[in-house]
Amino acid sequence: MGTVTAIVIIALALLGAPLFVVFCAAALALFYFAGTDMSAVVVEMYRISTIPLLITIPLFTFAGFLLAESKASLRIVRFSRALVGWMPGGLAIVALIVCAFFTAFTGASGVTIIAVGGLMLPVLAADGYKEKFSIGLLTTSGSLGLLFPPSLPIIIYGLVSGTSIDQLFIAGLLPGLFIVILLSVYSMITAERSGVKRTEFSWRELGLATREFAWELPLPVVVIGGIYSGFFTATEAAAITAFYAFIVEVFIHRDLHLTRDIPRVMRESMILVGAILIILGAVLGFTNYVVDAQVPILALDFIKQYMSSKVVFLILLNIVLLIGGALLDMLSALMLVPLVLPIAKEFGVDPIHLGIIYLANLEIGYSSPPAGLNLFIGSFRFKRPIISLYWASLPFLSFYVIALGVITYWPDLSLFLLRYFGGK
Amino acid sequence: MWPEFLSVTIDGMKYLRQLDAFIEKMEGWALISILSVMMSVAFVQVILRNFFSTALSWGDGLTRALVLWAGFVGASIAVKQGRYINIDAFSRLLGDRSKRVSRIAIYVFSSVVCALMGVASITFIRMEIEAEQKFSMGVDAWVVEMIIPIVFFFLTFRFLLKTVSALAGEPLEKQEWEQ
Repeated sequence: MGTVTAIVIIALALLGAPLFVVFCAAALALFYFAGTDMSAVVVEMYRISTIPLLITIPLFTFAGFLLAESKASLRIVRFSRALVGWMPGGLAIVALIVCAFFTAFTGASGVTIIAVGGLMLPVLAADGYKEKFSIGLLTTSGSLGLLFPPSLPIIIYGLVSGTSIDQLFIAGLLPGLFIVILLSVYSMITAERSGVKRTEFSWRELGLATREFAWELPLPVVVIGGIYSGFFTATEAAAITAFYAFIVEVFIHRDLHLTRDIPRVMRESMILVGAILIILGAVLGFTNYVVDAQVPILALDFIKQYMSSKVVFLILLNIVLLIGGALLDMLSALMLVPLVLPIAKEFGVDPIHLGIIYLANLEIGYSSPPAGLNLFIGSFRFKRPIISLYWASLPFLSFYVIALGVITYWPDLSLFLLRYFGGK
Repeated sequence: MWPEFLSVTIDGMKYLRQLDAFIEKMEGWALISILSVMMSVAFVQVILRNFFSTALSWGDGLTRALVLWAGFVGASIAVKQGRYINIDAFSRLLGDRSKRVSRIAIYVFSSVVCALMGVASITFIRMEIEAEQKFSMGVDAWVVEMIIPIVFFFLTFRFLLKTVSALAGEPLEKQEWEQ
């Protein structure tokens, strides 16, 4: 009976059933077969409301939507174009920087691809970049800023693992930059090969672009500076960011009209938050059962029979997380942290370093076939079938995997800055 | 291809659809109000904490409840508009007829699961009332938690409507990129 239920649930999930229904069904079935009252699933689901930092999710998402719906994307593109557009592959690097900025603020919820992707695709095409390259770049970059503050996946990892979010924010900086630089080098080489024209650097244009972008420029400063200096908590930074972005886009730039646009932007952003939070809630019920059933301890005993070295463990972890990231969504993958953490600690992996490895894996999983979220959103935004996005993303994914290897086996890349700033 | 009586049922369904659309509109306004209050209270809290070393005692409890409501109401509209997160990689490979059949199976399955979740959340709320759980500042927890069964029963209703329209041969919901 249990097997039949599992097969039905998995089959319907693959046929396109809503993921929250899938996780609710799995949790209901597990509790039912364990003889627990099914209301336990709701008790677990309701637990999301006790997570103190949960409010950062709607607030940062709304701020991200405001930036996305306004002309902020045009301003940041112009600004970074003036800054780095003169380099070989300059426009592709602009796309990488802009995507990283947007993803850090919108938490890799797909807003980056919606806001930046649609904007950059025709610009890249006009400059002579091949469509496959551009689509692959913009699709995989939908999660590029995942390691930079204030990205929500970092916050969620901190919540579920009990590690310091401030330290995670510092630890993510260098590995995040490393990925951006690696992809920039690839873009430079590709651009040179396909003969993309370079543009001239101009101080005048940089000055004009900076003045135009001046109001949005403080946003990363408020978030990063505020949290690093300890002046704001993450919740406060979220409240300030949402409020500030609202004032700037509605009253200063007047890109969005208070009664014509704002209600729509609010509604749309909360629909996305709802679609995410209900999965988060359903997944809580599911993982809690798994942890209660002592699966981590059983898994640890099992693993220890076959390996004892940290290196082998990390390889296995990466493989499991890559597959998990490609099949599950980011939230469900992050919900497995309580399972993985005790095992990783046993092998001597620093919980902060584990977080960076975890998030780097998810960054890749987000764009990995068959179920990476970036691919769905990209196929919607670029109006291309999802299969064509699989192919476009592959070259970029291989660079991500190289970066992942470096991040995994060079812990100091993540932990180095902490010795100076994080009190470690 | 589908029995005649279904089209008669569809006419009778007109009112249920209007109800569905009405609920969606209300939910939309609810989301806008929830976010407006949440954002304002959260911002006022920052100002009070950092510049006046005080805070609204009910502020954090209120925003916590609002996040829960925004999540559930948002999820409800997401389903109504067919914008829930799912895995679409394989369903696209199916032909028209088998796609419709699998979609009907998914809708039936989803309405059953949501109905079960609705019943389970009623049990949960009963327990909370009996235990006299408080949410914050003396507010009964069940008042805040009522959103859970309400949304799950809305979702059941919506998946049933989707089942009927899929059975009646109406155009299927599309993945967003197909539109």
